[in-house]
Amino acid sequence: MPNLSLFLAQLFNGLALGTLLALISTGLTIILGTLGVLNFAHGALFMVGAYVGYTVMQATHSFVLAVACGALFVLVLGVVIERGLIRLYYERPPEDQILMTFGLSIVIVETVRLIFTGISQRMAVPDWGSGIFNLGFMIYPKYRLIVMIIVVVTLLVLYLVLYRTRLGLVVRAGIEDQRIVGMLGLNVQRTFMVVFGLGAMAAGYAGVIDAPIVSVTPDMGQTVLVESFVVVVIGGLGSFPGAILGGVIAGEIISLTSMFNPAYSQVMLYFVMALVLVLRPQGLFGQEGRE
Amino acid sequence: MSLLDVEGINSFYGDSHILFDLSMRVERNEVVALLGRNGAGKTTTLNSLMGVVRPRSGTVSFNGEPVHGRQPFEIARRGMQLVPEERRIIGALTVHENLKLAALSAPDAWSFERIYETFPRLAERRRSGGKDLSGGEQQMLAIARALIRNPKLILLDEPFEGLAPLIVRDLVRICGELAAAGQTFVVVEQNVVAALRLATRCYVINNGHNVYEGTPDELRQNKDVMNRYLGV
Amino acid sequence: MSLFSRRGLSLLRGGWRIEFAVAVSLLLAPYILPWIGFNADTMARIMIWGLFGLGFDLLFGYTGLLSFGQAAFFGVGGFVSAYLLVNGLVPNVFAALLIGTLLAAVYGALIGLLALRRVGIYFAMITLAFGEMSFFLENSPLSAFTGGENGLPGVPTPVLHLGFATIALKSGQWNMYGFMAVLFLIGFVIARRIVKSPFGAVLLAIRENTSRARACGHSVQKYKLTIFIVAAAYGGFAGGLLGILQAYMPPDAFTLQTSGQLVMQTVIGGSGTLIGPLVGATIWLYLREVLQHIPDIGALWKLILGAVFVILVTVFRRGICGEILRWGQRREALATNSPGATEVDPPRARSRSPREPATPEASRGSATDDAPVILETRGLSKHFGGVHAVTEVNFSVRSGEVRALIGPNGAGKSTFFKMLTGEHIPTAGEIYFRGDQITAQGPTAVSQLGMSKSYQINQLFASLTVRQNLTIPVLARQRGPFRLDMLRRLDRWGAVNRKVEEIMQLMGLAERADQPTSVLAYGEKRRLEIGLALAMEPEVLLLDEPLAGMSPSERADTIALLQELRIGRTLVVVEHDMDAVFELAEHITVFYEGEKLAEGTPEDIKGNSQVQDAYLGGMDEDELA
Repeated sequence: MPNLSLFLAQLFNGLALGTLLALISTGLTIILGTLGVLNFAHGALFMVGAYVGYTVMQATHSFVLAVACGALFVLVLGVVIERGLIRLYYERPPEDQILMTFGLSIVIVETVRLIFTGISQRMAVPDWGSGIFNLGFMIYPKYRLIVMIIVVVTLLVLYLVLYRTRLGLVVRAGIEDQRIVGMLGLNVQRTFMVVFGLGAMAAGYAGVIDAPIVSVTPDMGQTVLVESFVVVVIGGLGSFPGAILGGVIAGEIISLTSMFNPAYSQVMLYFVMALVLVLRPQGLFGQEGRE
Repeated sequence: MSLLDVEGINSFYGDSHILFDLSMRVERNEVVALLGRNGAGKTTTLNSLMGVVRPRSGTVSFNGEPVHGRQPFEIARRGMQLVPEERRIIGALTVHENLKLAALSAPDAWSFERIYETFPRLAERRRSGGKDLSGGEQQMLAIARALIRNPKLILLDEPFEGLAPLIVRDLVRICGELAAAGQTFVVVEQNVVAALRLATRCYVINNGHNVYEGTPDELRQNKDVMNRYLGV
Repeated sequence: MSLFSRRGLSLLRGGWRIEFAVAVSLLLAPYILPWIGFNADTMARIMIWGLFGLGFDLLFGYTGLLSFGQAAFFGVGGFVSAYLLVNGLVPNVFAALLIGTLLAAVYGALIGLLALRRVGIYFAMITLAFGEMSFFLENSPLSAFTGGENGLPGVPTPVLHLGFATIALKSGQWNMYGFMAVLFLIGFVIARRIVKSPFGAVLLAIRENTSRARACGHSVQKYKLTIFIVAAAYGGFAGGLLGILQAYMPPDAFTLQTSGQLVMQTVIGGSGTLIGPLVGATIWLYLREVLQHIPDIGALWKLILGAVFVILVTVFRRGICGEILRWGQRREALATNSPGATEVDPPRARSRSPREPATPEASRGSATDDAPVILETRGLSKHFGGVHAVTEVNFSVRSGEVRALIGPNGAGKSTFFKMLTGEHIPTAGEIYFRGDQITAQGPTAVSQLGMSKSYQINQLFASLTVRQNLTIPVLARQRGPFRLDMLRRLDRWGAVNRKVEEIMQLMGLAERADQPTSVLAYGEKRRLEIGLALAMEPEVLLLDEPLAGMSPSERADTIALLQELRIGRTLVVVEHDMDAVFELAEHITVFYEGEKLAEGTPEDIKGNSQVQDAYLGGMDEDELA
């Protein structure tokens, strides 16, 4: 029987994983809500962030620079993708958008594989993050703890952007009705570009800060993509609070079930998703009738 | 130079031709009513002015500048504002946020105080979500949202549709006051009486053609037009 | 002439020509393709992917359901078959394949039940997630059976006893290709039959306009689930063959890459063509096998494929086969159609019955006041958030009556109609049809019971022809909400085709029978819209603004048509054209602000001052007259 301290440790692990998933899923869900585009390349963008961070870290040994470059690179990449491709798809059926972004993810992954080969890389943990930290109930790697704080702060910033700025106001309105937003004098096309860029950046940023914890490979984005799909399904399409709650739920499920039987942790995640689909198909925070 | 000058526009929805060589003009400080039966093309006319529908031919000049082919947000920034038939209140935002959204890109927007003075009902409900408003409140908010941008021209599409008489009377009074203060309107309305009460000039549209132009008094006298295009 | 033929299948005239052409190609392929670098093993693999793709094309190309989780069924079929064979539980290869296929289908039913609760983007996400779930299930909890990451080696290759000869199949040899090709051909013939069946016709309708297919009286969910299971079965069968081909069942059958490869092959080859996935697989495997051995660009094969795919989706969405077929169709159309024959003088609806000119007076009063009530609502209300669209409406129509619903825009008429047809669930109140409660039973049930509606805004099956459009409601009438007639040939079902002809005649659309609806003039589309409702042979026909947007001559024709339709039917009409309303209706119900304001004969309504105030905007009568 697992004891209390192990339980607390796993609970904590779940929170760390969950907040990271929440951050990635927020990017996915605001793109989905505002542009109506399900970005299958979201995981690939996460991976690109990790690789850029890794490269910059190798070259400069500066973690801050690595994070900044990774996030900015993916932001620019996102804007280029939106202007060059996604824009052509706004009037087309959602299935076409999915097919295109799926193809795009392959192009991105294979390009990275071409440059860095498929061998897995490790990004160095920054000096201030090495070592461990005693939380009282458990001993925890210092970096992971700091990452968790960084992610929570980032989510808070995202919250403020969405709920306290004019951009956020436009995005929240655009999720519901982009036509009226245009009629009120706001350039929806530009908002789309910004939203796609920011959503992509969320993935890239998460990729950099996750890179020291996991191994960096061209295929690392795939699991992340699928898990963030699950988060969005659980939380509800286009919902920021849904992404947060969904992320934490997903993180805790993976973490807590692996305490009993690691083999079932992923399976349980999908089982809970199925449960949500049966009991509340629009997701916990989703609105009825939206697809 | 008229505020709005429309020359021979042809508009389509998909492949169905809705407007045929439609021309009209609106002077400053006028209230122009567009009348006609359902499906005559009135809403399409407003949508063509606002850029929601792009006319395939013809010109729309607003404030001396051609605006046909421009996007709705560009036309809105030049001072035209459409209050759509479905109102399109953002349900996820509060009343106040809806107004704030509208004011974002307007250089000399009204103050919130002034808007709430004009629509006291909205002041009471400023913290309510858009989806919780009644039909009348939604319509008020839709008009207020246009007004706060201080536009040169407001296009009202069926503003009184489906509203209780008391609210219609209220809205007619408010619009009348605004018009008296110099606000220019184009009103599309089934409620011919309410529309003619507000209007200084009117057009009758039938099957996408502009078939009549005159003052409300002239129109009331013209039994033939009333019967053929508006009567029941 | 083949009936259901969007992306080019109309080229395929005659019963078995296509099947024959495919068989010949499969036969000739081993003599041609090796010249450009194909070997027997690659070609056998292509057959497996082709089979897998047949099911997926039925699901995606024909029904419009984009699944990213097909690997789950490929894997289940493969591992079950392999497990049974490796452990000697089932010695017969075909029996093992069959069991694997069946279990894949059962698994498909399970996942389909959940995933099909949502559509579009959500459906794609959910199927993908369940696909991943299956991978993890295979990988660890079930690794005792599946070998986990090692897969299952030692799958025996079949020995065929044909009576006159015994063939021991071997990987990498042409007899293995032959075996796979025969199985593909069988799968192809079955898929073609499904496509050409009444069942297949409904699938296309679901792809084109799901809600209208439902309103036409088809149990859309059951069709979707069935085709999902069929696709899973195809996948399971193909998976089983993979184990046999390789003598080893690899765990990567379950991965997202497998599902993704299937989707990409299908789209590259051309979805909705059945043969497209095979073509796509040929290209994919060719690039992988051949490109890989060319130095310098070997590592690029997947990048090239990805880029080609993105370009193809962006510019040539129909895929290779789809674009070729469309090009062929266009040439055919140019050859047979003289220009101008389409637009000059659009045919009109037959405006009078040949028997006698039916005057309004003659047919009016057909419903006596003691005819039974056929449709009734009690206290019917619908609220949307704070907006009360319809409030406590009590309404009843007698059998054979023509009733008009009038009222200003936004009075709640359309919402009321939507509650009658089951599209909206009422907030309160009940609806009775022939005395039975039908409240919130949904559009399919209401339509099957005998009440259907023509929409205010045309809801057609856009890329289908007029004939195909009208076939959809006729099928619902003839075979009920759901039937598993997947192998029946629709073009030989005389009763259905005669009925479709009859309605096309009645609606004046016979000359347009084989044109896609997109080329119709507005008035013709409007008539097709009414025709879709009429083809259900409803007892009560609801018409939502049938005259909206019509030219004066079209309007006159349509009014004459309605005069004809009223015979033996109950009509409820929402219409703004008052002249038409007074000409047609025996009784008029006036809606105002979501409530019933008045009801009576046209004369009553004309004289009702309340109605004048509300509806006519309070104008004095002398002002109007």
